[in-house]
Amino acid sequence: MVEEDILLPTQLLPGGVEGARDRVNGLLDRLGLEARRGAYPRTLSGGEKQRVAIARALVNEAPLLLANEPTGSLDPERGREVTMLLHDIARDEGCAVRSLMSVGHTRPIPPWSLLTALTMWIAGVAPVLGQEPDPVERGRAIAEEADARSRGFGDYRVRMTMVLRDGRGREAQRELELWVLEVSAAEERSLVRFERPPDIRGTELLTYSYDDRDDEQWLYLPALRRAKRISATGRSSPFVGSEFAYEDLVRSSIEEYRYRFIAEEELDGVRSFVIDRYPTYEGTGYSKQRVWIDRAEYRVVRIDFWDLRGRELKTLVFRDYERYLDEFWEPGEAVMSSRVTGASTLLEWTGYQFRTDLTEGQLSRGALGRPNE
Amino acid sequence: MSSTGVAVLIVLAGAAGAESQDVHGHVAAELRLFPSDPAHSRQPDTYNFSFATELAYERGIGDGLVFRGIAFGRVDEHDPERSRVDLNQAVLQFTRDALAVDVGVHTVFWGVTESRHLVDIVNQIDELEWIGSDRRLGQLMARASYHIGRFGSVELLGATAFRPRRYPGPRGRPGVPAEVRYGDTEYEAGLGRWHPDVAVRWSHAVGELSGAASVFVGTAREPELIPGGTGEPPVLQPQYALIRQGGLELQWTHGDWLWKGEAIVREGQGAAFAAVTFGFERTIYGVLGSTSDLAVFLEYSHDGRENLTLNIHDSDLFGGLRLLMNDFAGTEVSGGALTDVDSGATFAVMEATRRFGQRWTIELLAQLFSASDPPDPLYWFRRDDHLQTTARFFF
Repeated sequence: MVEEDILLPTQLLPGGVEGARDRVNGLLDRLGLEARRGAYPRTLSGGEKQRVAIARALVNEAPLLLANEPTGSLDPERGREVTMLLHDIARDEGCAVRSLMSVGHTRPIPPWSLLTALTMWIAGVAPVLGQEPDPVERGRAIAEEADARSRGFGDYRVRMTMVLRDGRGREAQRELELWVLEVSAAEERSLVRFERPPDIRGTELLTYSYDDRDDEQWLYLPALRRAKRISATGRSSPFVGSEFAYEDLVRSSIEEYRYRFIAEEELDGVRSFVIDRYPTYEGTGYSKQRVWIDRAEYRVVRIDFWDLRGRELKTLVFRDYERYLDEFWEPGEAVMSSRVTGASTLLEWTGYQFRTDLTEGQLSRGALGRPNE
Repeated sequence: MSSTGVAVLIVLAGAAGAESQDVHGHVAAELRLFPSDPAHSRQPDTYNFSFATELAYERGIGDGLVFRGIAFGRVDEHDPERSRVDLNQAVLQFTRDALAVDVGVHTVFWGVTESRHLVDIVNQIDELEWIGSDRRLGQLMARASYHIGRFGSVELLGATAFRPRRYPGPRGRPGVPAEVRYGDTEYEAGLGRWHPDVAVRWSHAVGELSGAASVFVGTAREPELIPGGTGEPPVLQPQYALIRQGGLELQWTHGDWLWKGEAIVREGQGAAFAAVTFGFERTIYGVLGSTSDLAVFLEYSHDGRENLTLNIHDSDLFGGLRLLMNDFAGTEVSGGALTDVDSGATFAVMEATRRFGQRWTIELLAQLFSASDPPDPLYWFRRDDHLQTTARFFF
């Protein structure tokens, strides 16, 4: 039965099975398995089986959870659900999920791998039957984890300063205020309001980003007091003359790229995953991006960009990450450098404020041009 | 009213101790150069200087309440009509959740098309800046808009203290070679300038479609200019009718294409009539492998009115281009021409803007008028082709 199955690993604990009953009840509830407590495994659906496996992995309060293809036998929809659940619960339970990798089944499992799995099992860690993972799935899994960790902030406001340097060393500044609101899991809104240079002061750009359909964008022109719906497809165009393109600054959804895991390596002393991602959305100016994501916190530390002709175009480096709400890592600055012209843009974020009770009304076309109090 | 407003602005600007207040604006020096001799001896021969300034003030009062003021003033070397002060905004703006309320002198824009703003009716057009300018005069109003989520937004508006339309004078270039008798302006409304105008507008956006429907009841913003006397210069008397106007705006935003249309039906100015403007805007991003974006515009306008005074849109085609360089200096170049399909009369505008340093911009504007028949309003300006340079300093 489900309950006994979950209790199995607790036989190794000093408190034994009885000491773990409360925890099992909590997990059953959290995973929506309350009603299936007495069910036999063969009567469970695929998703339920995976949830039981998650509960079993978590019952020992393991500090580290290595999951072996937790979504492998599920359809993509259910798979995403299980992935999200796993991360949510792991986070709440104070358990780190690392290398959420999928394992290829094509090659035989070498004996040492079973030995490692057994050792880990005894150590109270859920087993992993490690193999050379499929680089496509692993790349995507890393991107999914980084994405999942950056969601759930609710809303934030931040001031952005850009220092633009062209190839000849001339400088210009841009200052703007950015508001971001998570409307739902699949919709995010952002409002950019320019303050400098003064000739574009008061210009606003409102974007509704959807995971499952095209974005919507409005531009407010203060001189004409006019809010204009604009095409949201010009993503490759430079943002106010900087080295950043619009597509570098808007939130991207997981589905907008194909991924490939390349390596793990040290970058400036930070142990990082290196993944390549290939944009699949229309209007991009890139054929490929190579992304370094730090292993410990899944923060993007560097991105290299290749243009549509396959030439190396730009490098973006993020620095001075700080943690907000004990959960969200945000960079203090980023530098985008052109490999072609020698121009660069320094972008600084200051005065982050999270959960400021922004409303959909404040980020709507009717609010364009109104005071932003 | 305007000069009082400016005084109020300046006093408010000096008020100390507000939690969030902010003064900014610009000063501009403008030079117009005319390659041809003027049609009228009173117009300037080869050049005209003018200076303008705009001062904006914003002050947060708290509890979702903000005061905003914008005053504009111009001094012109030759044309006394162009020398004036306009209180463009002096408005208390209140926002709470889905409700937004504005009370005071304010500017509101309605519409989607580029070459003609048919539906836009709340604010008077400022014809004194330049012919075809998008600038509007401030209008005293009370306005409330409410966002009803899935059903779009509704806006209710009441306005009074009508701002009559002013034209560049006989000494201006371009200028109207007639004496417009503003003092003898006639209003159909019994209360004259103080007649209350009301309007309601519903707007909505669903996916790639966005649109709005509006109704306006009140004094027309467009006067009829009635010729009087036989002297020289001719005399024109403005008459403002009471009208009812229904307006529709629609835009389909599909990929790089924006398909836009506006239509109105109006009654009260002679026989009821309809007018439409429709067309597209297409943007080519990264044109020719550069980082520039090129937008192409094509629009057609038809106006069903029989007698048109100062209306150049009876059956017109507009084509235009706008190049955004996306560079350091925010360089922007645009050009367009509006041609009357029947008479061939054409009005062409070319514009270029560039930023210098952080606080300066320089704008170039060329206007060309071509019309051979006296009834066409462009005929007035047939010799007023000019190149205008404006240097603007922002503070």
